[in-house]
Amino acid sequence: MRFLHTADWQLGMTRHFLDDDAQPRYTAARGEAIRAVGAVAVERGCEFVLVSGDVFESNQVSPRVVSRALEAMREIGVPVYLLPGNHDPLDAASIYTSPAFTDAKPGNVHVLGTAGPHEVRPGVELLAAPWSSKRPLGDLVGDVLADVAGDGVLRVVAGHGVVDALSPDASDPARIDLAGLERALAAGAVHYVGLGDRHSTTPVGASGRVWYSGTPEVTDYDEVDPGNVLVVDVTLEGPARVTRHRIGTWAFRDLGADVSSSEDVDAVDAALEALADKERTVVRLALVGSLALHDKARLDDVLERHERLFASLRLWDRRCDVAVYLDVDELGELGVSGFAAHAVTELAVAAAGEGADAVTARDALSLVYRLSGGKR
Amino acid sequence: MKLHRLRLCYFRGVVEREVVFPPTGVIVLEGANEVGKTSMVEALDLLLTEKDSSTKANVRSIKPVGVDAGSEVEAEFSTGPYRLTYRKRWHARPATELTVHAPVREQLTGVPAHERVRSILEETLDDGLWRALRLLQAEPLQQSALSGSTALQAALDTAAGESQDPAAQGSLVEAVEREFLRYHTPTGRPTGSHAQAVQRLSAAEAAAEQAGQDLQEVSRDVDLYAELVADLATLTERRRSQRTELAALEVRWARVEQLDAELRRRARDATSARQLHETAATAWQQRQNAVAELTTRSASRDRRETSSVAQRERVLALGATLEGVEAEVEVLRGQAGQARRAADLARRDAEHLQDAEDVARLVQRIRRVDAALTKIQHARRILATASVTEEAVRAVEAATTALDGALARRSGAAPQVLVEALADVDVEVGGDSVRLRSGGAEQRSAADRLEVHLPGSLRVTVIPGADGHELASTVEAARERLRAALAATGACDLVEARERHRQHRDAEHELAAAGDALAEHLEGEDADALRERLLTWQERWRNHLAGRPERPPLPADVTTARTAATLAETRHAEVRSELDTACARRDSLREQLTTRTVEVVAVESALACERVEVDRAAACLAEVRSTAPDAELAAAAGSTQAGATTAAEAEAAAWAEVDAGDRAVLEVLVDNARAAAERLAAEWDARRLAQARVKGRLESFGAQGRQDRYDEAVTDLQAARREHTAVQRRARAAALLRTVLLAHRDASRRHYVAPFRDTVTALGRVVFGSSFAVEVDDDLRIASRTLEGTTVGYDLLSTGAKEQLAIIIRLACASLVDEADGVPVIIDDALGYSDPVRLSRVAAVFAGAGRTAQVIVLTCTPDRYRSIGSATVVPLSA
Repeated sequence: MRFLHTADWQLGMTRHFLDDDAQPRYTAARGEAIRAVGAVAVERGCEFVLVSGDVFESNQVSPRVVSRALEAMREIGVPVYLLPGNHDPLDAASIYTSPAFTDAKPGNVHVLGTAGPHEVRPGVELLAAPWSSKRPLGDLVGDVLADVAGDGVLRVVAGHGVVDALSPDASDPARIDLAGLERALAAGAVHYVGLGDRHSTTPVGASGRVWYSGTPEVTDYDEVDPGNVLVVDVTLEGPARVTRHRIGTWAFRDLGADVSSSEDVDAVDAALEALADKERTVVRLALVGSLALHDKARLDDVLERHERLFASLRLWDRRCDVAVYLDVDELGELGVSGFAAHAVTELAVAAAGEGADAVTARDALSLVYRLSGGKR
Repeated sequence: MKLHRLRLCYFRGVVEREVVFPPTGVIVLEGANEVGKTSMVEALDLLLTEKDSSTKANVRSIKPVGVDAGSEVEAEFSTGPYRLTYRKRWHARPATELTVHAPVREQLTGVPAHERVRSILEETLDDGLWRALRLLQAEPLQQSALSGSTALQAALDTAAGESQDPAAQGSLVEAVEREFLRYHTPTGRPTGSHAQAVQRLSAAEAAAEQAGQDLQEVSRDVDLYAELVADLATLTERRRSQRTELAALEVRWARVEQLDAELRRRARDATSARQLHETAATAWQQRQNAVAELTTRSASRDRRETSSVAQRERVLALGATLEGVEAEVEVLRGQAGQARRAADLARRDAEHLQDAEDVARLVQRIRRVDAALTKIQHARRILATASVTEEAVRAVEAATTALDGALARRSGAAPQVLVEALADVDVEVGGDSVRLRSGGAEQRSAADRLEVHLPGSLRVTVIPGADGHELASTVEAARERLRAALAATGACDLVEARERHRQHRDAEHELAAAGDALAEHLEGEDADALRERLLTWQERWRNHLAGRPERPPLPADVTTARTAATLAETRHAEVRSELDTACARRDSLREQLTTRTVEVVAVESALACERVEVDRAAACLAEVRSTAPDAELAAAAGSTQAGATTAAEAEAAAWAEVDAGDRAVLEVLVDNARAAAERLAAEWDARRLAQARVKGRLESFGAQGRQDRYDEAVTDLQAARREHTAVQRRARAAALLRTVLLAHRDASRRHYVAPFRDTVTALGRVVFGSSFAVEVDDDLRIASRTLEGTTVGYDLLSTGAKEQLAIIIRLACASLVDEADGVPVIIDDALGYSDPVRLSRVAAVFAGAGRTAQVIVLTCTPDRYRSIGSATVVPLSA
């Protein structure tokens, strides 16, 4: 039996650092991901698509997001099973019971709204552990496992949340007990565990049957391997075969560099230059070091130039600390003399320090550079 | 900048003029008013600033009147490394020509020439200084902003031991100021994009806050809904168990209520038996009371009747006594009337007799009065006819004597005529017919003319002489006086006059005597009044006699009558007193009778009421006894008492059956269980309702896309924050840079103020003496001048002193600034306010400055500048 395992579509997600140009394209990309999922499912002959939670970013996304998503799912053709996750739990405000959803829901879309088995076809069941609130007080997956046994029915667990093996937070009562899962797998009660919540594609444990599919389109810088969907072949006996298909088109990159010379500035320039698909790439820069006034001005120019090309290019303020210093020659280059030279020297001393005042002093130096030396 | 040559053609009133300037020293351009001295300065300005195509007002104004040729200005000057000849023509055939002689020869025309000169000037000319070193007639004596001059700053820096590029510094300060003002108002508040960023951030924060709250609201409702669901489940369970509990209690309670009903029935029976007994007992008691009361009342009525009869009798006795007294009073009243009438008659008789005596006296008095009145009339008549006074008599006596005298004198003097009849003859002498007997003689005195006529025969006329006439007139006069005196008395002669006087005096005496007598008898009264009174008295007297009864007879005299009257009065008073005593007694009796009668009536009316009541009570008793005889009532009271006792015992037995304690507990339990059931139902309903409401709200939220709105708001907030941070950083940088830069500039200025002040002081001492000192502020303005230890603020200085200081400042600048950077000092006809001594001293200063700088002085009074020894004087004419 072959099906497609995906999760964490996070439809309706907004990235605050994207500007008015980038955000609509990013939103569109998340919608396109559904169609890409459909394309893979059809091409690979999947029986159905399982979305293991967090289909929507929130229960409060606008009806427009819901309508477009359902339309895209309708186009997939094969059955699509949606599991309520922590972002879209089946609570009183659930999107799955809203008119926007229920009125537009196509026939091939099913919500795994109750805990327990859902028959896909005779002999094949989805064992769902949907979230009914944002703070469950127990292991939802563990609970549904209690009621099944090896009885010859092919069962795929649809779960959402963090597996205890991956979470150090022992006080979280909702962690999924991996050992219990593996026991159920070993007992033949279930045959594959399709999890959601972790945005990077991740196999868990040693069974080869417990997987986080990851999000089909990247959502954050710290995601190791996002942008994939899994095509899963599973049988009552024997191992599962899991194939990852990349469908993501966007990239979130953290870039760190030590900038202490003119060459370093060139290196940053080159590194940025080297990145492909700039209009779908979001870059966060962590720059540290100290630069001469003119090098700092050049760095500013470089960043300004690249900023126009990337979907987003930002300095990671917490991780950025570029001090600015001034050498005697530079004063001459600026054509600053007399009292102005004394003033610039005083600012340079302040700029070499730390904290907010130093930052202001650096900016003031840059301003001097722009107003006098910079223009020559 | 050094000016070498300046040529003007058709510039205002100047047709053509060329002036050549030496490279240094004082050049005095002298000329009359209106000759166009100031035009020289203006021409240079226009040449350097206005294009040949300019149609500005200041260019139009230089066109000479009535000349078609274009206005032309040509100047040759050096500035920085350049030396150039520059010419412009405006109005007709505009043209611009530039020849740069050094360092590299260039030739340009038109706009490029203009641009080239502008750029050369920008590069080399200190525009601030160019303007600052002028002192123009038309402008007020304000201090120029020398601090804007980079050349001066450079010079001062050099003097202060620093070196720098002043142009760059100046432009940097300006650029920083512009940058600062992009973000701040001059007072440092955010403005422009900075203010907008602050506002946008604040708005975005509010919007995000609101959107966040909206989202929170959903989350709270979701939690609330979950809580409600859980609560409902709990409540449902509790209601189920509580219903079971209540049902068991209700069964027990039903049994208790049965017992209660039996108890209540018996209690009712006991109560009614007791009431029955009470009714019978009451009836019997009331009957006994009624009998007793009737007895009491009858006795009371009898007592009252006895007392009433006695009282009535006493009243009758009192009435009889009163009648006796009233009769006595009547008798006494008759006697009193008689006594009073007798007394009245006696009194009137006495008065009557007294009146008779008075009438007689009055008649006597009237008679005497009348006699006096008659005498008075008599005397008055005499007085009326003979009123000859003593004076009148004396006048007659005097006139008689005088006449006698006069007559005597005349007689003595007058001729005596003696007519002697020789025969009987009738002769007329003096008109008198006299019959003379023979021998007879008639002697006459011929005091007047005297005729003796013997009718028919003779007429002798004796005519007295002159004396005779005089004497005759005297006699006539005396005679006339006598006649007049007599006429006044009415008498014929002296004797009669004397008689009349005597009669008059007697009548006066008689009148006086009669008047005295009248007054004595009238005694102050009027005579008529006396007569009137007499008539009245006589009338009264007659009346009394007429109206008096015969008995008793009129007493004989007054004394008897008075005695009788006194007796009659005494008798009357006695009878009167007796009458009063009898009346008092009668009144007292009447009062007693009234009181007693009222008492009797009251007693009798009370008695009547009592009789009615007693009768009615008796009738009542008889009535009730006829239906319920006393014996029957007594029997009923006894028998019902037994029934009541039996019923009470039955009730007590039922109470014994109910366990009071157990029942109270059960009642509390049942009540509580019922209340709990109601409360649970209410709670359940309330939660159901709340659940429905929350559900409704959530459905409505679901369609709102609050997450999207929140995301948008947060995105906007982040963008606003980024923008704000960026703008803020730029604004802070600009503010910091400005603060630091200005602080250093001020510090630097404080450095170069010193050389400026020193130079001004040195030049000023030449003019003002060795005590001269100035205070210079950071902007290189003179703040105050000190002379002879007295410090005066610049604004308070005299016009002359200001003017001298203005020149000194400019010359000081000229001598401070490097020769290559310097500009000509232009003084347009100053020093008009300076005295000759100061003038000569200022001249010395001019001479000193002229050693290194170009100093151009325009004047129409060249004498002022005569003392500048080294000056080049150029006369100007139109």
